[in-house]
Amino acid sequence: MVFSSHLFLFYFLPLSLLLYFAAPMKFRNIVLTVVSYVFYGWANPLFVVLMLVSTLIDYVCGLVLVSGLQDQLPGRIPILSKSEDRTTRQKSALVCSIVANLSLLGFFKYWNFGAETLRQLAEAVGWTLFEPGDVLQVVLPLGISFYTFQSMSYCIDVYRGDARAIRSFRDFACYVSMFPQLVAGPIVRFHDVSQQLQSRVHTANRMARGVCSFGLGLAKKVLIADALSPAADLVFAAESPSFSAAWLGVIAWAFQIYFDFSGYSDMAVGLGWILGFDFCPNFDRPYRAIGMADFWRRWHLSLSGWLRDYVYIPLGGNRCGSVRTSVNLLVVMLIGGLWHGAAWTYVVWGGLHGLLLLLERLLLPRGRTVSAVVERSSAVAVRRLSGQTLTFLIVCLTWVPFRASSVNEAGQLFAALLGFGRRDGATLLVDALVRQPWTLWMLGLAAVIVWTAPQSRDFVAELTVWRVVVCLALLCVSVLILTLQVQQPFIYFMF
Amino acid sequence: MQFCEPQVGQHSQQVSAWAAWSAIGGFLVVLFGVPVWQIAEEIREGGEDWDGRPQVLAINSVIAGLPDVFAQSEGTVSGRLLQVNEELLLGLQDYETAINESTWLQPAAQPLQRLLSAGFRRGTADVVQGQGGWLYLGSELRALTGRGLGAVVREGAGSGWSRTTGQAADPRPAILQFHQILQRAGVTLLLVPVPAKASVCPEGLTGETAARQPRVDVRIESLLKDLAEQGIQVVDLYPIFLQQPDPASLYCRTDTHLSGSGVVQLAGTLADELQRRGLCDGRSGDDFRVTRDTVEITGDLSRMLDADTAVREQLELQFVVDPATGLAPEGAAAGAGNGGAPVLLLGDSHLLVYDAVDLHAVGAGLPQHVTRLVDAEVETLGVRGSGGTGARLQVLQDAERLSSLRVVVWCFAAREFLDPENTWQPVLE
Repeated sequence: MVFSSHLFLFYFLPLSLLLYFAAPMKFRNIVLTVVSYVFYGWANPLFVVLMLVSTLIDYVCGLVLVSGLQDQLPGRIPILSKSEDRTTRQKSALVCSIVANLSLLGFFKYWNFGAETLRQLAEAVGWTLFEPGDVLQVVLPLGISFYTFQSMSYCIDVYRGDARAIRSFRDFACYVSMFPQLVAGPIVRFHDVSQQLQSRVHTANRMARGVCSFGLGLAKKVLIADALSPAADLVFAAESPSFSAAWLGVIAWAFQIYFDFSGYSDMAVGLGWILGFDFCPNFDRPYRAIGMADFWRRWHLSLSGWLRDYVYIPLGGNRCGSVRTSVNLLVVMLIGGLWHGAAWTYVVWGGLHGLLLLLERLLLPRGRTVSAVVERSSAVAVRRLSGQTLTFLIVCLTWVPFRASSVNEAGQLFAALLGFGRRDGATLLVDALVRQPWTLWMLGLAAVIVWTAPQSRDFVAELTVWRVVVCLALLCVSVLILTLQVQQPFIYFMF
Repeated sequence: MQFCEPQVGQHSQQVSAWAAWSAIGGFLVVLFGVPVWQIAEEIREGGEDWDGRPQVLAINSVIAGLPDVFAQSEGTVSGRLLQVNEELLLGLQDYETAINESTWLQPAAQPLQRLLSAGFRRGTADVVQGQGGWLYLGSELRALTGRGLGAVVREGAGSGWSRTTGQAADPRPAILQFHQILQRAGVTLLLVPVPAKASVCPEGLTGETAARQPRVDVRIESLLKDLAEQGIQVVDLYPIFLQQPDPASLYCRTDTHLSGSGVVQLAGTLADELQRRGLCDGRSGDDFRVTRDTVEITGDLSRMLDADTAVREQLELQFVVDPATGLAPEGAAAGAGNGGAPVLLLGDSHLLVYDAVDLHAVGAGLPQHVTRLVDAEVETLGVRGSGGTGARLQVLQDAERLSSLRVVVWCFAAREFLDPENTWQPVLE
């Protein structure tokens, strides 16, 4: 079930809200958990079992981590001291949680990829290990990358002494399964919402902001992202796009993925506010970034923050010399790439970002970023504009392997982007289709919003009546447009 | 990289009570208003088929049938549970589709579509709007511009994109098998795919007729060459259509099919090719009377864009009349398939258009014109849907029919070659 579907908007959501607000406060987490499991099970009822298993493992590991402490007080379990050494049992519990979560993720997400890679490698040296159809094909459960990371962070936070373990399975299951952000994030860290799981306030202000954020998010997805999708699909599927069609298609994709994903995040944050939760923002005007380090301070914040805290810093971060820092950075970006999907294209995407970040570090004075350099230079406005444009174009280029079906196809599109693409009779047709008036209008609108409009979060922070009218009008138009088009799932649903 | 800090209390700005409650009220009106109106509409409309329950309650029947599925399935408990899961999943998908398709919002949104369509040429996934009133089938354009046969598809929910870069199934094994089966029965196959509208008339999109050169449908051209090299008799209509003084007049602007003059052109080409290849004799056509008439049609593409469209297209059709009866030639009624004729026209709706009540006219279709120009009895088997797979399988299921045949003219939309939806499955022999 996707947020931008008739079933979700007009049946699931109203019913869930009705049940949630009709329930007494102490039962609201149960209601939220149950409706979240229904939401998740809609994609495949069997996946519910998997999520339940993952939740149980981390819940039990969390209790084992604090097993000596939980009986001390009748109320909340005390937080583990950061200075004390951890016992073997605690270390084992943490290892168990990490291994279990990574095993689930590894099997369900990377089995097919691993088997296919192995087969191709063997084939390259003349062996036939198995035929493509002979090996087990695993179906990827929806949102597994998100909830395993989320649930794993709970045990790590408890182990580190950053968060309190939770006594109630009901509350923990609610944290893991919460439907607003379950399948595509933001990845909510346990310590961010642990208080809210036990007590939260529902105010008209917060709900109104939630409603408006939800409306803006839906409009981003339905009115812009979905409108740009045909152009992007066409160019990435074409064998012979021209130079201009290739650029238009890649830019259409850059806007599509941003409006799609940030639209989903706005809807998730909005639903969170309506339900009394405060989720962290996932974007901070990413296409206004100057430099790649700046881009990663603005794009998919919940993932980059997670990778930084649970991978980059444990690896040594930037504290072990420049060579080690470079290796750490590259490893984190490769993991980030592979997290998105089990394919070499994502590895290339992650690797490219890693290399660009390294290059930026090498070219700039120690500790400085491109954005800082630009802000301190003369003619700031011009340099800022050129810095933003250049960064945007580089980011667009890196989207090519991310979106392409194979490394080979990415190579063909790169050739077209550089003006060396193949041309044939279909080239003119691709050109004409990408330049359809509706697509060009939407590209223009997307550009205006990306570079001039306030972020959704800022727009709804100070709600006036006319802003409410804008948000509700966008909600209504989006609902109408939804019925005119084929339902398109959110891009990040497949990660 | 940036930490994701807790946001509690960040938004301390006060929102006016009026703004807050109007937001909440408006949201609730939309959220609850749409389903309530839907239920009210369903109750109001009622109808004989209505079981007295709103569509939304159909979920009950999805769930209610599961214990029976478990009881009736065989194998281990886990295997039976998996079957229940499979059944539930299918039920949920059907339920969601039914909910989406039955909404009252769909007709209510049509004026908005008309507005966007007129102002910004906003099409849909199915229909692309060109200039000058030209409409094109989305799947045809995707087939023409895509990677054709043999592209690698990344499958599965974890990697995606299979929908957009979908690889078309290779049609060659199925076509060669069909050719061999017919050959064994002493029947000649003449393959005559109808070129994609966007390849012959791209000017609605490109705005220039020069777009026809070089050939737009290069992948189809190479496929036809390959099939010809493998011994199949192929008529490539593209160069023939392009030799006409006004190729764009061969297709309807708002419909997926050939225009009246396109049908006449195709029939003439078929008759010439049958005669040239020694498969049939031709005749002058004087045995039949031809009357011209202008008809007003609502093209299928127009209707796909807007079910209540007011857009009409005028076409000049040539109606074939047998002077003896005053009716269209006997035995040529589309879909008659009465057997016994030596020539079978096999294919998709290109054989039915202008010869079926719901396809704009009767008596002015391809079968009538071929009958007029060929000195042999002609029978037609045209299907709605896939002419490449559906029609082929249908003719092969009737082995007796093959015995009387001399030629099968296989005529269907060339886009089928590159359509990822078409399975092109060979038959089991």
